[in-house]
Amino acid sequence: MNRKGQVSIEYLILTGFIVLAIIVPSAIFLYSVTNQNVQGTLSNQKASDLGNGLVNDAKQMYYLGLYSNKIVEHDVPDNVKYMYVFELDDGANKYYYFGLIISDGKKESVYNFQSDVPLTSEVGTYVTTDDSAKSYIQECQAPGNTCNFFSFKDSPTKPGKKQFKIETKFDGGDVKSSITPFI
Amino acid sequence: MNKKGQLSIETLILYGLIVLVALSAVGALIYFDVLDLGGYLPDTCDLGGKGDLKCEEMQFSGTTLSLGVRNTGQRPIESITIYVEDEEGTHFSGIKSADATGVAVTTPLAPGDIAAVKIDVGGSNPGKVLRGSLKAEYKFKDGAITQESAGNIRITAGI
Repeated sequence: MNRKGQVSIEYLILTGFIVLAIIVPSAIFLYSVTNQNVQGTLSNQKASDLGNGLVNDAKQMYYLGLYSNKIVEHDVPDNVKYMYVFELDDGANKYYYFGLIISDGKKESVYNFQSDVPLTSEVGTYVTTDDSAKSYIQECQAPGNTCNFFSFKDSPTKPGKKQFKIETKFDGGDVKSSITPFI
Repeated sequence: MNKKGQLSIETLILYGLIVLVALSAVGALIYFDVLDLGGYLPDTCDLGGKGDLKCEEMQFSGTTLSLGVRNTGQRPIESITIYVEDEEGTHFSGIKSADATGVAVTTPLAPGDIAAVKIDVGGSNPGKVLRGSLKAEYKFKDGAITQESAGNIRITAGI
C-alpha cells in the first residue's frame, strides 16, 4: 500500500477539525449574542415604520375629505401581542392613538403613536372592542378618563407584509379616519 | 501494535491542551476582573423605542451619570424622566432616575433640541464599565399619555 503523504493528510484533516471545533462554537456564541440586539433594533424600526406610516396615511386620507380611501401595505414586526387603535377622552379633549405592544417573552415594549386626526376602526373579522391593552396605558386607569379600544387580532398581528384599509367616514357624528386590516 | 495515526492523536492532544490552557488562562483573568473585554468596546447609549429620543452624549464620573438626550421626534416634549439600572451591580444597586433639566410644560423640548439629564447614582468605580438598562418616560406637549422607551448603556466610569 502506498503510504506516501499519509502524515500530511492526517495533519490536514486534524488541523481542519481543530479549526472547525473552534470556529463553529465561536460563531454560534457570537450569533446568539448579536442576534438579540439586531432583532431588537429591527423590531423597533419595523414598529416605528408601521405606526408612523399608518398615522400619516390616516392624516392624508382625513385631509383628502370624506369617503376618501386607500389600501396600504406595511410590515408587521415579530412578537406583536396587541395592536390597536384607541381614543382617550379626558373630559375636555379627545386624543387618538395607534399602538402596538411587542413581547418577546422577556421584555415588553409599548409603542403608541399619536394621531393629529380622529381615528376609528371597524369591528369585524380581525377587529374587536377588546380592551386588554388598556392595562398598559396608565392614563386609561385615571379617574375621569375613558378609553375606547379597537383591537386587531389574528392575521394582522402576525409578522410580515399586511394590508390596511384607510378611509375617511362618519362615526358618531364626527368625521374620522378609519384604520382596518384588509386581508 | 498498529501505530497508524499515532501522530494524529498526539497532535490532537497537544492542540487540545494548548487551547484548553489558553482558554483557562483567559477565563481566569476575566473571572478575577483582571481582564475586562467590555472595556475595549466603545461607549454606547441607546434609548430604543419608536425613535422620538436619541441618547447622543454621555459621561460617567464621580456620582453622576450625565446624558444628552435629543428630541428626534416631530413634536415638542414637555417632560422626560430617565431611569437607569446597573445590571451587574458594579457601580450601584437599584434603579436611579432623574428628570431632564429645563424641560417643562412652559419650556418644552423642541424637535431637534437636546436636553441634559444628570442622574445621581451615588457612586462609581473608576475604570470599570457600567452595563445597564435605560428606560425613558416622556410626554409630548399636546399628548395625553406617557410614552415609554427602553434601551441599554455601556460606559466606562471616569475619575
